[in-house]
Amino acid sequence: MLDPERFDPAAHVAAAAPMVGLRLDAERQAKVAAALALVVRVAAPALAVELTERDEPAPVFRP
Amino acid sequence: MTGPALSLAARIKARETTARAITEAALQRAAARGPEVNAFTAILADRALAKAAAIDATIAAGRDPGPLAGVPCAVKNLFDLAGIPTVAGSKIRRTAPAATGDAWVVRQLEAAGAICLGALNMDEFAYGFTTENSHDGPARNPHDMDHPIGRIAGGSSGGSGAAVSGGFVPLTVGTDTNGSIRVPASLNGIWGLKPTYGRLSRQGCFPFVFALDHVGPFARSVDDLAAAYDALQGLDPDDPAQSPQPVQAVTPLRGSGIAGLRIGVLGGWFAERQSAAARQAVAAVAKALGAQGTVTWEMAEAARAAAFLITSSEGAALHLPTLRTQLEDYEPLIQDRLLAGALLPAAWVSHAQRVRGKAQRSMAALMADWDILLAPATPVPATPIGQEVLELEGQQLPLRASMGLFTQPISAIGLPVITAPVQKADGTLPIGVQLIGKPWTEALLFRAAWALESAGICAAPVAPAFAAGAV
Repeated sequence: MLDPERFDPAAHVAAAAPMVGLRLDAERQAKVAAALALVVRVAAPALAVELTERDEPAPVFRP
Repeated sequence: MTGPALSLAARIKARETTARAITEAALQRAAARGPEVNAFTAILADRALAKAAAIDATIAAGRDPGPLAGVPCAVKNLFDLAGIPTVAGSKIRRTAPAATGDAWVVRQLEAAGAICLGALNMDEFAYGFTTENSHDGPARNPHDMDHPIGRIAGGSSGGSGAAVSGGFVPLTVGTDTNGSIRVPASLNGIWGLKPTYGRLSRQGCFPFVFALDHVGPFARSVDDLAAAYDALQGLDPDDPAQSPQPVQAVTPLRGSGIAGLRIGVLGGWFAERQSAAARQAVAAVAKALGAQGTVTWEMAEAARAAAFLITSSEGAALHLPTLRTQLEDYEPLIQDRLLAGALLPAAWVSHAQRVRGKAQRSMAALMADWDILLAPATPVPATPIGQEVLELEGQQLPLRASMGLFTQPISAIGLPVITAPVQKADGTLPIGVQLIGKPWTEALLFRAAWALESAGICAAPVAPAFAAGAV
């Protein structure tokens, strides 16, 4: 799901921002890449969880 | 019944004072000392005085004004209050149309006789744990007014916490997506309830993350917290996420004790990266409740990570249209976070939602043997405003993201939590302990909270600098 060694936040920001209609200058792109790197670092343990095809999200969440 | 809110209601109903007199006193205190903590962002004096007159008239006519008769309260400024824009801590929404009605929580509290004085400070769009709001200024923790900069009141419901611990009102309401009730309850040393996801209606509440948003009350006594929670319950067809649970009043359970409850302590993730104050507070609460063991939830970190990812993505997607056109009007602390969240791959977010489901099932299996689990609410007591880094057990962590280390895994799976306050946990400042239950078992948490309060382990007095004239 995620290869932290290969994921490049700066490249991802540069490629993905225009696709959602965000025009970011170089200075802003660098800051967003740093923020994205933090998200990825914290999120990595979730992305490392192995799931089967039967692990589905709750259609209506009942805790 | 004890507690500052219920005591006021009793005095008003006994005609020892009037709702108008109490409301005027609360308004005067908010005007005179409110700026010191910056809890309020809007005070609605005319509205409050009109409501007070109606309560006094009801009493004069011999009718029941409700269990919270004349009790001053206030709500986080993401709840609709008729006649003013629902700003949700933002600059962008200051020009939004005024709300045409009150949020469910306001209507419920006022139907029980409470009087809403106004709206409370928060992190912009609820995205934070510190209430360092650049537009309204930071909320300041009433427990340390000698600090030259001030300490954080926690967030995102920081104004809701500071208003109660500073004795401005005895009841407030906030929201909790990743810890935004439990963190300010902990840092302000007061009681806070984050009910089960889907228990209380979120109607009229500006959203942050639909999949994770909860609403709940703050108070300075368990009786008051129970009275507020009972008033807030009820089925509301206007909240599509509310579960059709019957109302389960907890006030009648006062004094029922904790006999038979199986209480454990969460170890592993919840026993690491914390101050001595947090560790000692959990130990004191565990001892008082007769905790019978320590258990480890192996998916805690993954659940926290899933919540972080879902929050980043869903929170950002909500704001994408305005991020494109008004980026510079957003709180500087969250601009880059929101932009990053808007760019996350959909496959990651979908994976996180499935991890959340797996985490929920794993905790359900763990809790088959337990009724209540204990954990710190925050890793440390209130830190100075502006602090960026938290150093815990040799690790340097980003403070603003790390205040939710122990709350985020629990809200990720929607479990109910009462935050129980332990005073002078580090010798001076308070800290909170999470009493975590199974879905829909808020009543058991209240039984434990009452036991802790009556044993003298947990209490929520007004911060000493604000004790005189507290409401």
